[in-house]
Parts: sequence; C-alpha cells; structure tokens
Amino acid sequence: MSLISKETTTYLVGSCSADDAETLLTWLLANPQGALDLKTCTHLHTAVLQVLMVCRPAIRVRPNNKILLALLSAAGM
Amino acid sequence: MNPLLEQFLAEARELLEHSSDTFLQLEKSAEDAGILNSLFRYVHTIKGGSGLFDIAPFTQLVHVAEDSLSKARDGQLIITSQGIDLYLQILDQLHSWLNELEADGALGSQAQGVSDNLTAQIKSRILGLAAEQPAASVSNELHTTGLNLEACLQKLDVQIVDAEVKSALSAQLDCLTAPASLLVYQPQANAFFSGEDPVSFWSGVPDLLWQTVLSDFQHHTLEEFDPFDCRLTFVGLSTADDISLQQHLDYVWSNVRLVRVAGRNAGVTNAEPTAELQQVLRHQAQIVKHLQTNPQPDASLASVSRVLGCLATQYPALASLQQILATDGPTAEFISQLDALAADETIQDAPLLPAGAQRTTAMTVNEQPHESILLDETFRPQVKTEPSRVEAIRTIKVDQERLEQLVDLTGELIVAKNSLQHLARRVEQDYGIKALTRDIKTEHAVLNRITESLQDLVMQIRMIPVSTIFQRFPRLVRDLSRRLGKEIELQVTGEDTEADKNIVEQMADPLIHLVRNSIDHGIEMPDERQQKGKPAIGLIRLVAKNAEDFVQIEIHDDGGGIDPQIIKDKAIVKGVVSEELAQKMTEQEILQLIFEPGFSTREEVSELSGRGVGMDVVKTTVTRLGGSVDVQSQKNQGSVITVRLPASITVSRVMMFEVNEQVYGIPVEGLTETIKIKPEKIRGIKRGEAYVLRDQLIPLYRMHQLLGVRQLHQKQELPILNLNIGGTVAGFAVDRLLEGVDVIIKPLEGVMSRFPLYSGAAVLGDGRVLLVINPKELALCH
Repeated sequence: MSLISKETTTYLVGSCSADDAETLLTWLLANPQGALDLKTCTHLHTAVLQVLMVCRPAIRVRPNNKILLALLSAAGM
Repeated sequence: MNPLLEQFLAEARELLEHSSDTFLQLEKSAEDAGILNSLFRYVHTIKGGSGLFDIAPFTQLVHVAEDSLSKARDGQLIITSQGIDLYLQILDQLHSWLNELEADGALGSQAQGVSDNLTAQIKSRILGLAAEQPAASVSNELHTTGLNLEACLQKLDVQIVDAEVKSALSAQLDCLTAPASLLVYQPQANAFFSGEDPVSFWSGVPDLLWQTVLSDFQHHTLEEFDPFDCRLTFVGLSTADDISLQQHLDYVWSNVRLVRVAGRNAGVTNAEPTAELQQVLRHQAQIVKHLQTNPQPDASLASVSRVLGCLATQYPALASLQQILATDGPTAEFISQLDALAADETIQDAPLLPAGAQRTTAMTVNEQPHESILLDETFRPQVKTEPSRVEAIRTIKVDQERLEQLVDLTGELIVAKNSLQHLARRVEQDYGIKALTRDIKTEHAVLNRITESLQDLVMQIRMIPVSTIFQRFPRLVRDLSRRLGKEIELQVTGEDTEADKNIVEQMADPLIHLVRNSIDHGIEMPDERQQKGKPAIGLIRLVAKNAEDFVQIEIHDDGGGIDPQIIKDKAIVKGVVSEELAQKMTEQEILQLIFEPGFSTREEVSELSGRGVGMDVVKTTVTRLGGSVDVQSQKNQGSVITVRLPASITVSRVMMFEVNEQVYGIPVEGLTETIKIKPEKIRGIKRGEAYVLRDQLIPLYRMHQLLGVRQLHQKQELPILNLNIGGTVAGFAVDRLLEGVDVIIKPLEGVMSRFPLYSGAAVLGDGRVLLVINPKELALCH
C-alpha cells in the first residue's frame, strides 16, 4: 500500500500499484476537496494516473521524480 | 495443481486447436481480415494468459508470433503456405510445452533454445517478408515543409482536441532539425488484466521531445468511472530510431502506431508562413484572448512565448512578436500582430474545437465549456481495439471428474431403483402382502420414469460431436500430403454426429491411423493418378452418421484400392493364414485380413509407420468399445473403411441367465432370441451338437463347458440363447433364463481384467455382481 491518508491530504509514496487506484478513487470521492502529496512518489500505475485525470484533485506537492513529473504535465496535471 | 495454471492449460489448448484450424483456413484465403483477426485474438489471449506464469520462452515465442500476425492483419505482409508450416510447427511446440508444464510444473532446460530458434525463424522467414513489403504506416515520411499535422494525426488514428497541446506539438514539429517519430501507444482496454502497466512502458520511451496523455472516458459521472478500464492513449514525439523504439515497446508493439517525420534542414526558411503555421498562430492568439478566464494565465503565457521562440528560428518575423510579449505582455498590439500573421479571418473557438468532440486532456482550460461536449458521444475518438463483446454465458465448463461422479451416481440410482423390483417380489412371495407389493411397484414405476429421464440427460451431457476428432484431420491431411508430395482434398460430412465422450476420445488414435493409412497407402502419387485417368488431386471423404444406437464413421478414398491377391499372398507368407484356408476365403474375407496383427501391404516401410498403432490395434480398440470395423475395396477405384461404434456405453441392456447358480449377463445387441428345446431335438454332428430351428441348422454349445463350470442338473427343456456372432447364429445352452436389465457395465480390474471373456461387471439391484460376457470372445472359446 503506497497511500497514506491524513485528514485532507493523501500522500502517495514510492511506487503506486493498480490496487491503489480503487483506494485513491474511494478517498477522492469521499473527500472532493482533498489534496495529494506526490513528493516521494516514484511511479504511478496507469490505473492510478487515470484516477488522477478523472478526479483532477489539487496536487499540493509535485513529485521529485522527473519522469513522473513530465508524465503528470503531459497528462495536464 | 494451481487452479489458475489448470485454467490456463485448458484454455490455451482449446485456443491452440482453434488456431490450428484457422491457419488452415488462412491458407485458402490468405488475406481474409476476419480469419487474421481471429488468429490474432487467439494468439493474443494465449500470450496474455502465459504472462501469469514463469514460462518466459513460451511467452517470448507467442509474443513474436502475435507480432507477426499483427503485421499480417495490418496488411504489411502476406502469410504464405511456407509461413503456415512454421506457424503450425510453433503451435505443436506450444502444445508440447503445455504438456510439459502440466507434467512438471515448469518448462525444460531446452525450452529457451527452442524458443530462440523458432523466434529467429519467424523473424527471418515471416517478418523478413515484411521488409520486402514495408508497412505503409511506418514508412510514411512527412516533411516539415508543408507538414500537415492533421493528416499526420489522422494517419495515426488519433485526435488531439486541445488546441494548446496541438500547438505545442506543431511547434515541436516545426523546430525539428532531425528525423523523428510521432508515435501513439493505445493500450487495450483490458490491458491491466494482462498484467500490463502502460505507464511503465511509456515512461522509458527514449529521446522523447514531447508527450501528451489523452483520455477517452466514456463515463458521465465519477461513480460510473472504472479505474481498471484502460482509456488512456499516449502520444509522443521521439528522435529515437524505429528499432530503438520497437525494442523498448516490443511487448506492446501491436498497440503502437507511428509515422516518421523528417526534420527540416537548418537554415531553410519559408518566406511566408504556411497554412499549418497560421493555424498554430491562431491557436496562440486564442490562448491569449482567453487569458481572463484562464486559471493559470502565467503558465499559458509562458507556453505561448516558448512556441513563438521555437517558431522564430524559422520565421524571423515572429522574433519581434516574442519580444513584445516578453516586454509588454499580451497587449492589444501583440494580439493584432499575431492575428495579422495568422491570417485575416476571424478566429472562432468552434472550428478549432470540433463540435461534439470529447475533452481529451486537462490542458483545455482556455477553451469554451466542455461539459455539454462530454456527454455527446457522436464524435468520440475512434478506438482501434475491437469493441468488447458481452455475450450471455450459454455453456459452462465442468471438470470431467465431476461428470464421471454424476454418471456413477446415476448408475447407483438405477441399481437402487432395480432393487425395488426385488423388494416387491419378496414382499409378495415371503409375506404375501399384495397391496404393499402393488404400492411398491407403483413407486418403482415413478422412480423408473425419473431415473430414465436422468439417465438420458446424463448420457446427453456425455455426448460430444465427432468433430472433436475430425478437426484434427485437415491438418493431418495437409501435413502428410505435403510431405509425401501428394495432392489430397479432404471432405468431411456429418461432423455434428454425437457419441459418448469415452468412445470419441478412444477412437481418436485409431481413426487418425486409418486416415493416415488412406493417405499413405491409398491415394496414389499425382502422376500415377493421371496415368490411370483420374484427377491428380486425390479425395478422402470422412462421413459420420447415426445408425440406430450406433455411430458409423466411414473413410472413403479414391486411391488404388486394395488388391486381394497381394493381401492373400502376404497373409500366407506372414503366416497370418494357412494357404489351404486362404484358398477357401472369399475376396471380402481376405480384405479383412489387413486387420490381423503384423500386416503391411507396402513393400517399403513408410516414414509414417511405426507410430505404435497398427490396423490390428484399430480393430482391437473398436471391438473393445463394442463396435466393428469393415473394409471394402475395389482395385483402382478406392477403399471404404467403415467403423461402427455404440453411440453410448453408459447404460447397457443385458439379458441375464444362470449357469451353475451364478448369474451372468450378455448384451442384448447380439441376442436374436431365447428358446427352449427338448434334449431329444439335439443332434450330434461329429464332435459337436446342433439343432434345427425353422429349417436352419444351428450349432449348439453348452455354456457350462465354455465357462468351465459343472452342470448341476439336466432339465426337461433346455433354455437356449441364440446369439448372432460375426454374422453366424449359434445357440448357447444355459441353466436358466432370467429377465433383461439396464446396467452400467464397469470394466474389470485386477486379476479379473486378464479374462477377456468378460467385458465387464455390473451390480444388480439386490447387490449381487453380474458378470457380463463378451459374445465375440465366447465364439473363440469353442
């Protein structure tokens, strides 16, 4: 599990797998104003990326990982 | 075994069978898109399943085969007969690996070498052809001068709706100084379920200059969104060469489309902006005009500045415009200059954003509201993958073991039902309660009706069409005829004819041998056929049909036929039959000698022989299954081999009789009648006995002598079973005749299995064991 939810922020840590997509979607549906912290995230499974593209949550901290950063930009995040 | 592996093995075997058939169809119509699509689907499914297990050589081989089929499907290559040879060889190898996997749980150490070898063969023998007929989509060179981005995207079957994204791509293309590839990776909707993570593949694409991720979410609300339905498309511009790109995306290459884009030579400048450039500039103007409604105006302005900067290297007029933007910001003067360069026409939102198009990226913040657009599906970008078909499940797979249990339980129910008859008899005889007897008999009748229905149903479940064997024959005929240099057409009729699963399965090898025999020994070489005035192409016809409770399978060939004289001579030489006996035999009887052990009519040993199944084994198998085999032939006209098998072996009707106080049964199929004759009617002829029945002399045998038991007592009238064995009626005297009964005959095991006289045993309603006699063996006893 690479998701740590604290109050209004969920931290995506390390490599997020397909299993995290559903958890993240549920959390975002329950917390529409919730924000994400991707600082230490290194990889997003495509299913997780889809969740982000559909829900478009606020990204409080963008990832340090350059490849992931470029991918998020390419996805319009 | 791991249930997942078990499921994979079953599915993969089925798909390999389908693939094999479909390849044969492909040989007849090499460019049939439907056939190629089916093949691709089969192989793709096998590959997906194999990815779940640690069988890299298997997956590698299937992947390369799939790749080549994908190219064939896209019209980039045509699969020839030689290619099909290789594919069939690969299917055989995959089949053999599945067997290995089932037996050992892993592939052998040789597997990787075999896989590498076959992979190399696909690349050289099949994909090698692709180089001669290069792919249209891969080889399209689009030059920056006069570059039509729309045409390029259309060719890639992708639609970028967001004007800013398109502008950025356009700008990148305009700035290209070296050849690049514009590539689109569109994973399949069910990609996640095959273990694919498209982001992983995409993230490592080398030398990526620009990229965007498009989405195609067909949901209307967040609640309907399924995160595991992959709806993303990755678009990128890379300066890496095709080989590097393919190496990186090899595993998903079938889902990748690309066009090569040649770079402009540095320094070559167009005096006037092209139409494409004008479009880019219009997009930039539009972005600037909508800054007020843009939540991120700074980022958008920076983007416009970057685009202008890129374009300024080729169109110096734009350099001043970039300067104005940098110093004064997006002033009215800047916008008017930009508009002037972009053309005179007024720039509207609508033409730039196709009405009804879906929102494709998040970077459409500058555009007009998209909410209404999102709901309109008319202009949804075309998805290249085939639409998923939702079909109601009409059939279910059941483990064979469970089916066997069902058959066993039904058998036990029949036995239990039979016991009611015994009970009724005892109640009447021992206790004299007739009313209870009647009630028991009524209940027996009800139970009988239900069990008969159940029995019919179970038998129906066990029935499978003979096509399960027949489907192997097209491949067999093709392979053997090619190997032997013969031309043979195969015609199959009645493949829907059904028979019990056990019978069909056990007949597979003998039938294959018969067909192989017809190809090898029956059909002549083309030149020999032409000399005889026959068409060069030989004909083998397989006919299956129901005949009463039997299934009849005929193998016709229009070959050279069987020469009875040669058979007779061989039989004598081989000691199969004595010369004296052979002279008395009719031609028809002589032909049947081919089913005797150790018989071969060809001078040289053919490469097809030595497979462990001979004509004698065919006969033994057919006889064991309660059937018969017969051959008819005419010299130079051809032969017909007819195999008759019982359609079902589950429940048999047997006639019971008693010898030395032991109950025996005999299948009613061979029973012509039961009679009782007085001892004085029996005549002694030489050392045997006989009696006259309706002016016909019938040989008589004493069952107790054949079974090797004592005769307890002489009767005034002798009960006799008249049996038709091999076309001859003979009488068999027993101690007492009993009723007929439906039983499930089980093969004998252990010590008793050594006695072929008994075809099996069944349990009677009162718990006694009934030994069922094999009439053919009975005939040999005397």
